[in-house]
Amino acid sequence: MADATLSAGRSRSLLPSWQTVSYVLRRWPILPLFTIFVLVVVGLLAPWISPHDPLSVDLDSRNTPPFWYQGETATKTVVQQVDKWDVEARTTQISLRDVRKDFPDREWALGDTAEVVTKPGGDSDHWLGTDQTGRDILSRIIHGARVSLLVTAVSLSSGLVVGTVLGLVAGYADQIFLRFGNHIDETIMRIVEITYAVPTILIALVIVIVFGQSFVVLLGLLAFVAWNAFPRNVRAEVLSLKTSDYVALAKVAGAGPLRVMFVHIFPGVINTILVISTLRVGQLILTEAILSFLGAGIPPPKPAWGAMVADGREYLADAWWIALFPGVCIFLVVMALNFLGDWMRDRFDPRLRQLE
Amino acid sequence: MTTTAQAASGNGSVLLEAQDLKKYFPVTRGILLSKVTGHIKAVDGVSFQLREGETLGIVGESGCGKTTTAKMVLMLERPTEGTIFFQGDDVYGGNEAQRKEYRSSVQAVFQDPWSSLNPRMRVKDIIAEPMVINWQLSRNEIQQRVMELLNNVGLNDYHSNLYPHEFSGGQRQRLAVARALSLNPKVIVLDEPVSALDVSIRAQIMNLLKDLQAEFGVSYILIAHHLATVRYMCHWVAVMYLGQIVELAPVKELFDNPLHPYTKALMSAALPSHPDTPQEEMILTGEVPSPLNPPEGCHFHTRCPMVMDHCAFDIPEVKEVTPGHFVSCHLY
Repeated sequence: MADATLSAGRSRSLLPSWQTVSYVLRRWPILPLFTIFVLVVVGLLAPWISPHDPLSVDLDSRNTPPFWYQGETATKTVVQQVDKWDVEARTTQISLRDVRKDFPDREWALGDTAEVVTKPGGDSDHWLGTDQTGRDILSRIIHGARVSLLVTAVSLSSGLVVGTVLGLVAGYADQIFLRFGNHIDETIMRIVEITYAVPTILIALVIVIVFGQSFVVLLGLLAFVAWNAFPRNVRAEVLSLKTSDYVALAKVAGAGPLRVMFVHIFPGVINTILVISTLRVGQLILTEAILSFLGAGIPPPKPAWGAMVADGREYLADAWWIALFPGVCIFLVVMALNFLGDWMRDRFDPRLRQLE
Repeated sequence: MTTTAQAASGNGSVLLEAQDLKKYFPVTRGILLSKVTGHIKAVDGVSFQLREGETLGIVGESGCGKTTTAKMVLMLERPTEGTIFFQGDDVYGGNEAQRKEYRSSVQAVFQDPWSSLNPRMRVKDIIAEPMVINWQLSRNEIQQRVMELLNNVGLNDYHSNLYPHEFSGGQRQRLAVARALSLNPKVIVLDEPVSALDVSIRAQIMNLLKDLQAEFGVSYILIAHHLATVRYMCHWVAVMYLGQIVELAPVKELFDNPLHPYTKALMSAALPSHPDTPQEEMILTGEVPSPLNPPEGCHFHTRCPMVMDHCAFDIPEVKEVTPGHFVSCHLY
């Protein structure tokens, strides 16, 4: 009794309480950051940490379940011929020909009983199982992370640069171009609005049909998805910053429009850009997955999460792991990025900063 | 309105003179082919003079055009009509170099010390910015001058590496003053410099501003709505109503002998320094008319307690009632 209370007291002092843990988890984006960290590390180190070649086909071990999966065996009586139409017979009998093929190392006679594997179990060589052509799913997921990272990095950075520049120009055009500024602003914003109305997936499918499925086409499509969130938000930020008192004082001090833009306004929109980028990465990964799922994304032999889900769809009843694991990866990464983006938005909001 | 007469009654030479300044903001309607449907007459014919080493106060209620006037003096807004003379030169008529010269001679301190300093710059960069733009100085010289300015406004050297959010409101306003002083300006426009501050800090900043004026001989244009501040700081006071100056006088004269009914109303609205002090009650009724469509005749006639028949159509002229005391009212 005394021991129990003593150890309880000690554990309370050593381990943080559940309240503390849940507070820290809610306060800081630890889980999202961890997920994204794992994604980046795995993506960068893919060739060295993946247990198998993601492309090597092994038809003998196709549809192997994950490692914890117990196989099933049944005791079957050896008969000359199994009646195909008799369900009962199929589960309890095996034909002489089949049993000789499966267990060639002993003699078989009619009426013998054999322990037959009816469902193969998982094995530790393929932790998350294999797909319908025997490729290792874990290796394909690891390499898929690399592909997702590459695609989003390229399309996001190009979209970010284009979008930010357009946003800055639209917001500050009236100071630089004076009389024409308004028209430039209007033109840019109308173009952005038009792109909002474009059904991206549909257009993507058409473009893929016209130009064929290739990596470059995909990057172009995703860059198109990435850029249009930036101009609007950056412009809004610029509009509020350019009427701020410190910008007025910079003008009083003689600062020209370019100095005001780069010294006073641009640093103020970096937070906004970061937040949008984080939220956009999730969306880009999702769009890439959708396009790959629809067969308009990354060309087939390369492992992509979306394409893996599409491949596994036909085998869902028998081999759910083919579709499930890449699906879970997409879900986790997109969720993590969204949570991180939300957290950053709250964190960088100057109105909330004072409340700490 | 007061060009020659006001000059005759002062001591210093005239540094800055506003002549019949007007600022109309167009009101547009429609999105594609927008049409100008009217003008907001934010400032409608304002003239004043500012002498070397003196302070001109501009008072009036919200929306009367004080800040727009300040913005025109700072060249942040271009007057619709009228102009500003600085040391005898028309600042809008000159070339680019003259304009640059003018800009570096006229600096500003704004009301809100939280929004007037760039939150992402260090104090030394904030104070140095006007010098970096206007003067070719080495890094060392600028550094030295920043320290000097910080000491001038009562801050320490080590403050130069901090960010604005690490300062209190009063300290931030000191930083803003240091920055405004950095170019050795001749005029500083103070747009309600103390109204965002704690009462206990106000006196400190006002004393600092007065000391700096005595030390550097800088002139101030003080925009305020707090009459005690104006009385303490200013040599001249202009009272504005709906875009026009209704009364202009030396500070003592204005407070001892307010002539315009609007000035009287302003005075009676301010709290006396002692609650038992008897005070003339004069409460205005109604709202300030819209500057989009100001009343005919005297702008104040819709609310004036001493309104006469011809006020509604007759525009009052500016009269010098006693030397240096100008008022535009039909009563005088």
